Amino acid sequence: MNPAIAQPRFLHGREIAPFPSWEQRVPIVPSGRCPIALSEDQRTLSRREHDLFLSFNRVSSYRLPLELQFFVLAIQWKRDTLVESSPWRMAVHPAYQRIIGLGWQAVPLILRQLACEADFWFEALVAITGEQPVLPEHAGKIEAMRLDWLCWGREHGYDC
Amino acid sequence: MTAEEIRLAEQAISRIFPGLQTGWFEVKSPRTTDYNCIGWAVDDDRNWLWPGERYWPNGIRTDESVAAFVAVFATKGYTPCEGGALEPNFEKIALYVNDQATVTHAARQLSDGRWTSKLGSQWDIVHSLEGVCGSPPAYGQVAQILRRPVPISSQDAR
Repeated sequence: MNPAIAQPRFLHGREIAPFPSWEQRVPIVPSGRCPIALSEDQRTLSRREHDLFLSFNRVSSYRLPLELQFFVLAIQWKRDTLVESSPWRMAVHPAYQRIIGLGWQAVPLILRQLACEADFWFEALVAITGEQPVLPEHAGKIEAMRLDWLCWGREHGYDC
Repeated sequence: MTAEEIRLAEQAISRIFPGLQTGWFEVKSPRTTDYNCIGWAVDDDRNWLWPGERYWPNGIRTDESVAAFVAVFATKGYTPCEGGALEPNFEKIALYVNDQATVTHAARQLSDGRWTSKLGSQWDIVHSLEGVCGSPPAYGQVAQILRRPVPISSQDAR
């Protein structure tokens, strides 16, 4: 085994960081022989890595902050509906449905997205707010629909 | 569009449409949400047209079936026909459907026999009839070809 090449390491079935570089530069045992025991430093390091792993494990189970959760879902939705023409198929995408499931707390985030660029957030806004501020003559005119919703947002105190 | 923008668009399109990975196609416009494939098929680059409230002309069947699309294109003078071969003095539209026989897309034939499409809220491209076929997110298969006589003024422009 070439000590200069990091080998994959696993802890509780999950791949973890390779050995630190100092160990690769200063092999504990001569090349060609397997180490039969861990040095005190290695033991300390392993304990710390183990603790670190466990703390990451706990952290990763936390719910993401709302804004991050929204952006992750929005990116999934945009990626999967890139060339979709049907507003209805866009709206039934699981990520879009989860955004609707965020409820009123998603409204400012959606309006801020809509302020940045026109996109098919209209169905989510209708579903969450129960409102329909799009004028009938603006049907199918995406920019006009966007401005109608932004106007609604400002009238309701949103920063958009 | 810059050369870099076109290159990135081509990469993205090739990933979505297997038929365009080996076949030719050209990106013709920047991304826009102003109009979609149905609008583009009927030369309307200001409206996003789709069956349902707020996206479809009033009084027409509002489902995503081929029959509903044939009905709305009939209001523009299109009638069903056989095959996508170029016919002098006719312009054609192809309707694509997915496995559930739901319309996914429309493309319009150009006067040189090639087809032009607006890809959702993304770019316009020129491609072959089968180029955008394939499993989702590609557009499935061609289900219906429609045609109408080319208006005299358009024939002059051609």
